[in-house]
Amino acid sequence: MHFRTLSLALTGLILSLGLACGGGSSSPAPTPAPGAAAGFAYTDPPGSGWRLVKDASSTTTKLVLNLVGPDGTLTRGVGLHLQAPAGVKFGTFADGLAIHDTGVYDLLSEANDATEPIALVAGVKTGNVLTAGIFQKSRAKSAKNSGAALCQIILTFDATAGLKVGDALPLLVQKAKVIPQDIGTATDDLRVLDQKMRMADITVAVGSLSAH
Amino acid sequence: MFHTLPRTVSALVLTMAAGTGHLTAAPAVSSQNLSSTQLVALKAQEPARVAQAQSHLLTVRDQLGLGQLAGFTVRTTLTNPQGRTVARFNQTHAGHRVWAGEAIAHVEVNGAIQPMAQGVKTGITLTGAPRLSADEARAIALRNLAPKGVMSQAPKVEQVVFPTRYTGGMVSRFDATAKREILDKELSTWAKAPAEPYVWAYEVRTKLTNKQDGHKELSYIIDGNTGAILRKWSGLQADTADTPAINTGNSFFRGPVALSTSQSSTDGTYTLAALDRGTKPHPLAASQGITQLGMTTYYAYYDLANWNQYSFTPFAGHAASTWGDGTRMPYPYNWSATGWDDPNLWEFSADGNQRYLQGTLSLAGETSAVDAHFGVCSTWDFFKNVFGRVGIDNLDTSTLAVVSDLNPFNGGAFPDNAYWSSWDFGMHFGEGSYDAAHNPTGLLAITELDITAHELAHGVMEYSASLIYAGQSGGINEGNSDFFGKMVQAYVEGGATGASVPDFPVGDLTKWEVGHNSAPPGGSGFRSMFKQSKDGISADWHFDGIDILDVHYSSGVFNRAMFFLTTGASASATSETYSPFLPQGMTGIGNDKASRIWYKAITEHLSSDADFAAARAAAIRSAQELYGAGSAEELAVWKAWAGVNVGPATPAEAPRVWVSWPTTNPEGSWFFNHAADGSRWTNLQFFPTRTQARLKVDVANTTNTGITYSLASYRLNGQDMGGLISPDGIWTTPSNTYYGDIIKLKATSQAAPDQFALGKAMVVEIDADMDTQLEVFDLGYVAMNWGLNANSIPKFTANIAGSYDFVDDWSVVIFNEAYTNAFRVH
Repeated sequence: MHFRTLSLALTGLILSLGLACGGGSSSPAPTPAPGAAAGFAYTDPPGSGWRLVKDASSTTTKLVLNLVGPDGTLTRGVGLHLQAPAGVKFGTFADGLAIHDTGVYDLLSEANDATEPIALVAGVKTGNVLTAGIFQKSRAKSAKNSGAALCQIILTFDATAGLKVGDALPLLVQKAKVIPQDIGTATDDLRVLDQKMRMADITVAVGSLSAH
Repeated sequence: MFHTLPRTVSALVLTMAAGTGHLTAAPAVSSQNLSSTQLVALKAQEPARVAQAQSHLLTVRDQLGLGQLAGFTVRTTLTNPQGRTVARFNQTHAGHRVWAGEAIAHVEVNGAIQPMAQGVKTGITLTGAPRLSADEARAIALRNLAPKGVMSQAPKVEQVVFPTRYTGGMVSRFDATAKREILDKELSTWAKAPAEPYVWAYEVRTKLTNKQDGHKELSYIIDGNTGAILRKWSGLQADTADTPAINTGNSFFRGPVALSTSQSSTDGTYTLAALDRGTKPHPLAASQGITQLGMTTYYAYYDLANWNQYSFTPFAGHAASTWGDGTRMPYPYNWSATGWDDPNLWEFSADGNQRYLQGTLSLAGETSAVDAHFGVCSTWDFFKNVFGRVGIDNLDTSTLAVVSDLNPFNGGAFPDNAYWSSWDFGMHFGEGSYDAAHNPTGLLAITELDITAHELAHGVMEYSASLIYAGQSGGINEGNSDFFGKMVQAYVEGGATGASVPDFPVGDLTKWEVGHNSAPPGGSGFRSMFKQSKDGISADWHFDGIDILDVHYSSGVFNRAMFFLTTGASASATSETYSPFLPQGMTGIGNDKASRIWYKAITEHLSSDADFAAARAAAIRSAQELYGAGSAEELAVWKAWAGVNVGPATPAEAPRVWVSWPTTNPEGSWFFNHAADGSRWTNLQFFPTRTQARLKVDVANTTNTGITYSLASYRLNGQDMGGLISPDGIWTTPSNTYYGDIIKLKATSQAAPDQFALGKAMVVEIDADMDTQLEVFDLGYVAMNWGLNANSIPKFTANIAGSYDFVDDWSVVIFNEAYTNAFRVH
């Protein structure tokens, strides 16, 4: 089990450590053959809706993607299923998780105990599908503007996959959902509450990824 | 004289225990005796010093929790050889004595006064006067007394403040005809305690000395307002002392044995009380106002006159000097009946107040008492003669043994169990429920020598290393008792003399079977210390995850190590005393040296949370201190523990392959801090139902990290309920969740097949939105339902891990762990 034991104020530090440690890749890169790819090239998707955009902390072999939503849309959490092709692995941050909290969502309860469990989870399913989610659990905390990096994930280059420069590496968001702003209140009629406490489907745009 | 010991401890005892704090900082106390001249001079000042103390008490009434009506009258004084004057005062309220109210003051040599508050009764607010007169109270007492002859001395009447918590009282006495303690109806009172904490009352003291009444000194507490008799007691104190005696016991396990008993100076009868073992009063008896000296053997009964309370009373009033007939007491259960209310099971005392196992007081019943009494006394002697330890606590405190034990919690029998009771400062032994026709797996008896010694050794452990009775320390604790049980057996079978522990006959492994003769015919005892895995459950060596085993099974590690140390290990792979971790075998150092090393370890080095590695280290250190660093004895300790996979056999040995499951909920984690007994969950892993999870362990000290996984015995109702696991670690978890059930997963090293780790897993339901898909979105539903209770959860129950009523951080924690275990990133 993974716990977020550091406060949100340390987010930047955690990220820095994660990058410094090289994420989840541990194998030394072999000498590339002529035309062989040595890393990623990623172009952000157009538009201002839900999208995965490259974070400045990315390196050639490690692509850090920010999940960003439309500005002005208030949500309480988001999750997605992202499938990647061979040659792309999903990495982990310094805390061992494959998803990183950027601090937009308020994940703690009213007690604001930094050691309390938070709804932040990730895993890799069969078919190289990263599933990751970050959710606010306290109704007392307001919904947040989604027009910012809500969480991060890491894609690492698999040097053993024999990719060549220019090989396309299509990413596919199979499914994505958000917790909307209005999830009702505990005093609502149960039928009303039933309808409001539903996660909403969203479409997440993905940029162009290729071997470089 | 002995009295019945109900298990409840009076409020008085607890109150006193809680109120032992001093009011002022303790002054310096001299441990030097004064010269006779100094002492005479100081004693001459005693009245003045006591008066000073009395005045001082009055000035600190507020600190004592007393009001302005409180006062003190001197009761006794003494000045000890060090010059401390001890003054005891009766507490008074408005000039009247507070019953059982007392203050003590120490006046040190230098005049410093130290008040002791534990006997002070606080919160008294009585004013005015009682409704009844002293004469009316006297008349009430006399009506109850009903003297038959002439009352030559007038009763004494004193108005007192009576703390109502002392209302009533059960009094028992020994009935020489029935040969047991019975309720003394004349002295027992059944008054209902007044609601107020204190009432005005009269203490009426009477004395009768005439031909018709004999000699009686009865005292009464009469409620000053209602006239009810609140308490009654006899002022007579036993004026004769019992004397030590040696009787003969016909035991079941060892034939005729000598028994240390006591003989009454009044009627010449015997009691199973070894007065030469325990010169300090038994604490439980003392807490109930009873003085029990010596190791005493009791039998258990239910007190029908006192709410069926579990009680025990000594074997006493025995006219003959021979006890028991050496036969086993048949278990009196009517096997064709059902339940513990089988009337055949019970026998009742003549007065109808005791219900005990039928046959308890027969010769066969006495035989159990003989075995227990002999066993406990022998164990006492063993520790004294071999180690110089005087009693369980090394303070010579009296202990007790209870046979024909009953279940304190359900009113039934308790046949196949024995235990050490810290509360009782004594040991309990059941009768054994073996019946050839109906219960062939029941035990013959549980008073065999190594078992009685086992239980007493738990007491020694409590007053030495006090190893926590769980996990590895619990396994060592259990093993410690098994080991000393065997050492006592060896000591007795070797003649029970001298200060050394003889060895068992070479090659006789039955001597290392715990309770070998207690088992039913064809059985081999509870635990085979040389190879405890013969029971199919116990461990023979240390591995990661051994904490999952009950302490009676993880004890196999310690037991085998001690067997190796005493007796040796075989180099033959087919031998039951062979260890793959010590293929060359070893020669033992004998019982005497091994027991000295281990006794030193538990009394001087081990701490309460010791694990196997700490036990090994403590034994090595003890061996070095006793026999020298690098001695053959120390090296034997190394080998013995290496034989059970704890540490290397020699300093030069390379680190061994070690397989371990990841620590999922370490100390300090939220789970650890919030779970009851968090340590139990440290290595527990959660997995979702009906999914394929990839297992992962750590492998150290080898380049071949290959692991073969398997499911280690999880069956329910005869079916394998643990799902399927492939050798490469893909686990198809079961579709059903049995909340709270733990599934064992085994990971075995391919490089060293004897090295494995046992993992603990719990399968939980995490499909919070009940769409049959295990997705991260389920955690979103957990989040939306977080903090809601069942009444306000509309549809999605978020039934994480069986919690249908409330979604909280437990749901979050368990979901996170189960999900990440199932869908590992790497």
